[in-house]
Amino acid sequence: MDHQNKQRQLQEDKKYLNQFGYAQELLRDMGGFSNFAISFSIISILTGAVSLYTHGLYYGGPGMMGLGWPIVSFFVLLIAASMAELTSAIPTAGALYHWAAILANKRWGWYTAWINLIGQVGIVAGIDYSFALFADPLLAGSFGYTSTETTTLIVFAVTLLLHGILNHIGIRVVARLNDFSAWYHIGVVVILVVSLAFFTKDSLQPVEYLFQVGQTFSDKPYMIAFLIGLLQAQWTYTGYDASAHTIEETVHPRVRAPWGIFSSVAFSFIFGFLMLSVVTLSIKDAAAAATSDNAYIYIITQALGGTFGGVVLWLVTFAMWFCGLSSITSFSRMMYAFSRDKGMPWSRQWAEISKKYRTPAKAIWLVVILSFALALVDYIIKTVNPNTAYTTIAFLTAVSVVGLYVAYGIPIYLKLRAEAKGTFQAKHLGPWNLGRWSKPINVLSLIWIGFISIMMIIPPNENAAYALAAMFAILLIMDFAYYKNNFEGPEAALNTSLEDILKKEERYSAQDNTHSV
Amino acid sequence: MMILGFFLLLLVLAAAVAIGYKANQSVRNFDERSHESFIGHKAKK
Repeated sequence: MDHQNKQRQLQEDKKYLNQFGYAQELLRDMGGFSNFAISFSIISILTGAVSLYTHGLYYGGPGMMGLGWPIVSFFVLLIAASMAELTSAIPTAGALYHWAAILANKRWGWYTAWINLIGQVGIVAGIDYSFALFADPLLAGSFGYTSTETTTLIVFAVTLLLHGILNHIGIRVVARLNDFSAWYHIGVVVILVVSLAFFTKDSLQPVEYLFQVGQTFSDKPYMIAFLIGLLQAQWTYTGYDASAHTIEETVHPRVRAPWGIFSSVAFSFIFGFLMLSVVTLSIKDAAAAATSDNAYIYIITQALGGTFGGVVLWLVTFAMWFCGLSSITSFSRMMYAFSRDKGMPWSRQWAEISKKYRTPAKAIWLVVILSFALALVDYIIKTVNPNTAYTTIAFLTAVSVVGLYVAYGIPIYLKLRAEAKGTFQAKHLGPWNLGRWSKPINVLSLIWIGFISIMMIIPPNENAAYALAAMFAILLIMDFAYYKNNFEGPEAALNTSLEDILKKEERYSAQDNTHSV
Repeated sequence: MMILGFFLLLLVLAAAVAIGYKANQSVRNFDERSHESFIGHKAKK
């Protein structure tokens, strides 16, 4: 897009945002690829599918990769398409909660926001904890210490801190790293595929090994075990709402952001399947791998040897680092947008944009603190009761899957309801829409969301159910203590005069003129 | 099970292509003049 067209588009995008009562406070500089890249980086097949590879293999055997991955991918594509359609129609950073609030009422919006928030805390904690789970043993091997729950927690804390600093002060650096991350993920998958296909010590398993059913290393009946194992794929496919949360920073958002959501899922399916296939076909002893501390590390090391395997594993681990960086970007935008509408206690703080760095700095640090707190609670529980059956990563990921997917599902349901009432009509749809396919796709999406939410909290992951129930109880208390008197909802922004909106924007326009390239 | 596996793979690819095609058609055929922003109930008053 040349400079003149870009300026014209920016003005159009800004005016569209102003209609919702919001000023253009965030820097609108992301193109289509950047918007896709942030979601692709947060989905991160090299984080979710890798860190939960043990979980998937343990419960569902090799067939989890060949069959579980496409089953989950199909339904997630439908969910992504449903969300993409809403993104195009209502292009604000609040996304899910904003859609819920104006499709129904502010109470629906408030609950959606908080459930989304709970899911996001789980996501950030889960991703950075995954990085720590991989980096700590690798560091321990290099520096000669023993990797323990404590050392992993320390690595996790340092990672969160670094991510917080970068997100606070380096908006353009983060944007570049985001774009690089997408290519990095693809590059590492190619390296993995080539390494395992051509440089493995022994030959690969036959293709049918990938679709083998009946083998579980758990004590559950296979069908139940397979469903539990779906957490691996389902957690991988979280966070693509990032394209919607960064919509106020995207040029031509009503087309680019929905494509960002949808194509990030589609490409993750392809590259994820390639990666999972070659890794699974490299397995020599599935039982040994599934019962090891980390099946993925075990398989790669067995197949490629210690040195080459170590290099490949470090490449994969860095992908997780990029994923964590992007997840904090996305979460902080959601928190900023919700605080802008006074949805949180001390909202004015979290809604503040740093004039120097153009980032929601305080929201970023609150994200870091909340994510650390969640993992710390789990660490304390395990210190008190070391015989807990679940793993930290399964706990964090189950919390985030349920939180996020319920938050994804609520506006999809409310859209169907608003359509049935006649309040949301075809003329309200944005350019990216599904036409007559919308309703069946939305319905199938909701069925899957209901089903998977239940599967994520049954034993052995019942602690996730308790955690979610406790969080919901806190929400109810906050509802009566805070929401009733303070939350005005996004529609209150419609009372902001254009004059006030433009005054807010003037604060930043001088800076934009200095920084524009 | 290999047949089921390949069927599932094709199903996902077909869904991705079909939805992508449909969405692309919608973007091309979009008419801004007949579009109305959905900004909530208060906007209607």
